[in-house]
Amino acid sequence: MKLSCEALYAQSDVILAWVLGLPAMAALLLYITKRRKWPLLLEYARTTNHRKIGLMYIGGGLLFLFRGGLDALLIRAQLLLPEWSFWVLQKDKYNGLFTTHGTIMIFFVAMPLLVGLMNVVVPLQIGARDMAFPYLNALSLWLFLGGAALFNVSFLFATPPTAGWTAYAPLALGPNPGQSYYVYSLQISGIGTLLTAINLLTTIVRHRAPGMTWARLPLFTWASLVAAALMLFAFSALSAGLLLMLMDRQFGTDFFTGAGSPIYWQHLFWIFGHPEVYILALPAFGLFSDIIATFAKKPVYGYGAMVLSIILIGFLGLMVWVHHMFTVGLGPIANTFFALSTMAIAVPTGIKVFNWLFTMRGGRLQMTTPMLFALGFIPSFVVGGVTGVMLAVPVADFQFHDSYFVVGHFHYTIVGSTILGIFAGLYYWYPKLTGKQLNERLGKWHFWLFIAGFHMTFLPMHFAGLQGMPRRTYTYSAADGVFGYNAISSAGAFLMGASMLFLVWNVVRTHRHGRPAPADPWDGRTLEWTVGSPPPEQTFEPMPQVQSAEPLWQAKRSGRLMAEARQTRPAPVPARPLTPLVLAGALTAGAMAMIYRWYVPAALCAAVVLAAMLIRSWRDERIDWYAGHVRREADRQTLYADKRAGVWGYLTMDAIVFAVFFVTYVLYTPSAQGPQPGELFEPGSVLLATLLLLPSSATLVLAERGLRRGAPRLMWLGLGATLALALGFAIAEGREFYTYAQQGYTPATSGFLAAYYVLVGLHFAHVLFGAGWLASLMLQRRAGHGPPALLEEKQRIFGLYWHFVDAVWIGIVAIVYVPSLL
Amino acid sequence: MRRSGRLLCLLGGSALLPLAGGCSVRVLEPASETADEQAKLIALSFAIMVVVTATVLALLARFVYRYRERPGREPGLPEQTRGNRWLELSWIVVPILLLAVLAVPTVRLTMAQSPGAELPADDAEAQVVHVEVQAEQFAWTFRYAGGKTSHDTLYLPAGYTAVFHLQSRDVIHSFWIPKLGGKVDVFPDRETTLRLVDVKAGEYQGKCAEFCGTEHAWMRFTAHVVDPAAYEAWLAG
Repeated sequence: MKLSCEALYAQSDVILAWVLGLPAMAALLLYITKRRKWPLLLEYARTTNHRKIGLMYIGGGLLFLFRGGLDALLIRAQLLLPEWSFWVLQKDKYNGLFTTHGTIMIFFVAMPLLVGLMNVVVPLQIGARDMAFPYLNALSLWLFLGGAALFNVSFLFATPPTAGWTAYAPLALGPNPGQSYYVYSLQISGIGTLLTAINLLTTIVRHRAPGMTWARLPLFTWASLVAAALMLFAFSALSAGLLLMLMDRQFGTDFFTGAGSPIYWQHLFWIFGHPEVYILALPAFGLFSDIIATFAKKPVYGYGAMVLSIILIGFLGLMVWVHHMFTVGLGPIANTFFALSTMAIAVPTGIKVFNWLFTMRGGRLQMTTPMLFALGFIPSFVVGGVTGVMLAVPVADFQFHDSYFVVGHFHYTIVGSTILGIFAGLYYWYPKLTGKQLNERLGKWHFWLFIAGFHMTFLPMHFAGLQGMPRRTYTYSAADGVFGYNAISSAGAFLMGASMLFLVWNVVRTHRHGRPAPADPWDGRTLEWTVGSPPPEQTFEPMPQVQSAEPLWQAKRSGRLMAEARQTRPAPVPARPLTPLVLAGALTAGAMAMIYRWYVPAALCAAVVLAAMLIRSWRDERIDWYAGHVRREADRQTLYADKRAGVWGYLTMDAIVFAVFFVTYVLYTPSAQGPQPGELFEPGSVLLATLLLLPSSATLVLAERGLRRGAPRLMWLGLGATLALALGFAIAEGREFYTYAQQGYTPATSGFLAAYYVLVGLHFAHVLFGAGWLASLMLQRRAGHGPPALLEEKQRIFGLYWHFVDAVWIGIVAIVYVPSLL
Repeated sequence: MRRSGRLLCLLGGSALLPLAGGCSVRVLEPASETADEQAKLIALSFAIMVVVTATVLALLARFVYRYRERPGREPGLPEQTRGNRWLELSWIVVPILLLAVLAVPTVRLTMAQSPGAELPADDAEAQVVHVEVQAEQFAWTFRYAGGKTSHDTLYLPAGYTAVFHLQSRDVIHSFWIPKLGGKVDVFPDRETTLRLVDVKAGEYQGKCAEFCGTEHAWMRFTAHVVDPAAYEAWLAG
């Protein structure tokens, strides 16, 4: 390749990033070494403490906020004047900017900042001593960081994704490797999000302090609970959709190309994407409820209605996705239904707004920085909400859709609720995060500049949209008549950017000169203000007995100490593992190898991932813990029940993924070309596979019975038979795949075969994984590795998984094989 | 207080500026019956939403002004009220009523205008012109009855109902003439249709609204709506 000056200039943005990035990295390493921070870093790399993990989430989120914010400023610089060229940021450079801006802000800024706040605050608000699964929590964090790092790497290789954060096919299926970065990084961080959802759900359902009933749960925790449930649904659907897109990109299938159905991706994406909006908004609603109550010195108005509206918004949020697709042409009935369901969301949202207002009425409003953000949130979010109702009208949406009106609208909702909420939460809970309190004066500067810049940036966009400016355009002409709006937007964006410097300065100053904060600096109402700032690793000693929705407030007003609980449950088991970091790192590296089709390194990385899992299983932190700390049988049962609850969460996620693939199979079968199911499947091999797999559930039950009755021979017989049957099934099914491949039938052959291989192949992978898992458990038992109680637990957990795998096979036989044989 | 007051002025100023120019934006200056119906519905929804926003803003301003902590106020704790059934019921019922007012015309027009909707019976008598539209990165081709084609310029007879049959050769695009009416997406795997009723004479911007790649910003066309005689002449020429 010839290196000309023009070619270098065309890539000068990437070159500048390297030129600035490498010395910055070197300086950082030098600083860490000079200040002897390596032990601290290692401490954090191995922690499973919820506060430290939350802090890392927030640190990562803020870092990417500056990356995404820089993208936004560059976008606004390019759009400042009509037909103007700022630097090299036109055409695909510009397309890369808005794609990374959107993707980073949603997945690597808003999500981790919220999850970070939840990590720190939710356990403290409900009297839990940690998240339910501390080890899993560390894994979630490293998966998020791995996915985020992978995504950012794409820019450094000058191939960022350029198809928008929605990655609509067929555009997203082009040769640009950036789109593969998009798929893999969202998949990896998405797994982290799913594990977080399971962790949050189990924590809130099972780890509340004695007396912390559902009707006493702080609203931030309520919102986190519903958001976590939505995460479990939405990210499972996204995960399935991304897998199909990956098949299209790497293995030649046609799920979303013109030969398949581009609309199917849009459905899958928005079945994820719309709940995602509420995953982002609900936690902000929850924390504003807490903040407004604290600084109005009053309990939140209409608590019951607030909880119900959170649940209702979450529920309705699952069935409005088509309002992103009104112009697709799904027909009048679909458009009307989704218009009405979308409008319905305005009702519970309105309830919340008026309850916030009336919480303030008659109160004593303290104008602290978090409260200012709450007061800025209400009108900002209402504007986003009412334009949302306007967009819900399909006929009006025909005009609004894909114009700057939509850009203005969703920034009003997401920045107006989530980002203002994150800032409010940061100022409010900073003592719990770090032990110090942010400076109020700088905080107010941050607020006023940000809110002014925010309205300046996004309000004019509505008018630019009505004037006919489509979104995702790198320039406009003078005749378009949108210069004024764009100029104001650009000025506002830089004002917002400037306000962020006050936050940076505030954090630095507080770190250097801030004094330790007391446990309860805001005269708070809920449990998080009863523990130290920052909370110690062993919180809630003694455990409070909760007697009202605002236990601390009540105790302070009555002048009595909070009641102590006599009976407490065992705390989650902490660990100091390196495996989460290794596992996430190997997964990320393997993904990168897959993007460039380096299959050998990818296989090596996969081996490291599996090895990390195996090491984790063999060096389980509970081995020591059960021997040392957990002496009572009841405590062991409680910890086992936690685990089982988490596994049910995992199975729910798995079931949703399989459900998507079942639907995919039905949609793509039969195909126009290629073999039909009836010509392909052999009844004999299906029968053989079924006869091998189904009895394995029965033999496993036999093993469990042997375990319960203390009959080791029965147990070993059951386990051995299960393993043998599983391997038999794997061979039978593998032979089936092999036969088809021999006849030249691959996933690329037709839509039916692609859907078949994805669905049955995923099940096959489950069987292989299960066989390996079972073999490892048998070896552990043979070696007498760990206390018998733990081995029994592990076997029962495996049982849940295995019965699920068998149930999926029954589904496959019923939906895939039987219809083809009839 | 003074500093924040000045900032509020700034905020208000930046909000009003585009509003002053907002009277002349293309979507709200319709040049067809279809766009006119859409603009009227936008206006109705906007009016209802202004009522909602104004109510919230008024309450917010009043409560913040009245109940903010300030030196002169007595220090005691406020009464710990927890809710009021009638008030809470009011902000369930009133929004439902407001939404119902919006929902009725929404349903009527959605059923009539959505792509794929059944054509009204009087369409047979109305003067209809059909145009086949082919979209590709980053150009438009229009094919008229009789086989004449044009590139990036669209001709329509004034007073007619235009029915577009759209298909893409590559990725998804979206066909949008803001002054003549809302858009419809253009797909590579199937045909979509768009009906614009009673288009008025004039020259209008047409754009691709769905992001389609490198030069999406310039995937544009000009729509010339001319009187029917001129249209016939152009078609024959």
